[in-house]
Amino acid sequence: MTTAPAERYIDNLIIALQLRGVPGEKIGQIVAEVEAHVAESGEDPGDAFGKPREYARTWARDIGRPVNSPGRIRNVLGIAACAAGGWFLAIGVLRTFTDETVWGLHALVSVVIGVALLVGGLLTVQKNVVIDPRTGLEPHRLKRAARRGFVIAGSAVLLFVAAAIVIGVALE
Amino acid sequence: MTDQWPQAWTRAAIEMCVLALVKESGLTHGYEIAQRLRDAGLGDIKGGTLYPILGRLEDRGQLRSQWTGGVGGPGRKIVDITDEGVRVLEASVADWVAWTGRVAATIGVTHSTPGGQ
Repeated sequence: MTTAPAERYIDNLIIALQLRGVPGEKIGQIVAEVEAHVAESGEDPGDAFGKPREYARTWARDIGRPVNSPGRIRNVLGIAACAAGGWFLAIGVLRTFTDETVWGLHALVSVVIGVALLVGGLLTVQKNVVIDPRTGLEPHRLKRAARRGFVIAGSAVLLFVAAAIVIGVALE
Repeated sequence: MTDQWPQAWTRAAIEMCVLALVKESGLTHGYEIAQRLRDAGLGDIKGGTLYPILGRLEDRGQLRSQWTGGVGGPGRKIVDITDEGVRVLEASVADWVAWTGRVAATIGVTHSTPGGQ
């Protein structure tokens, strides 16, 4: 049976593999192998596979290039769109109160542009979906790890947007 | 005789040994391969070493795999050798025998080493 420490190990392994840009399908394979091996041998996953970070590094090295270039370009564009969106949104909101325009546009138009860029940017950023080879589906036991990953990624985006807003306000 | 060998030796021989064990046992799985390596006196090969090797051999088309009995449980990844795997194994075994023969001759051993077979 998979015990709580094994689950924690696997959560950390998934995050470590995601951070190194290992494709989701491969992550599913790696995780399923760890689960199967630990279930059969009764070993502690840390003893059998080493630290999650180190094990993830071994796979990332074997796979080579992290995240294919088109995927990376998409992600950079998505994050840039989010940042620009944050700026338009912040300026738009501020100037709605002061009744000024943004580059000759009504302040509300700037708000709409900001929201559109934010949403578009978020949709552009590619999600690396983990596929369990045993079911061909996204495993529900990964939800916790996925949530943690989402919180980390979400915080990064929010931080970026906040920085864009601060810069936007400072430039006012 | 020890069962822990220098890492460099293991690294040099492990892929060939894995291919040979998979060929010999037919359908098998990771944990069984690890046990057989240990039983053969090749040392304790950890999962963290073994599975990336299996992955590499599969990526090169020398092994193929399939998951069984996985729904709602950990399941097993069953591996099997491919024709390409057999070809690579035969070629490397021939080279390995030649190489170890030369090493043995160089260090002054002419016949099989103590502990072998």
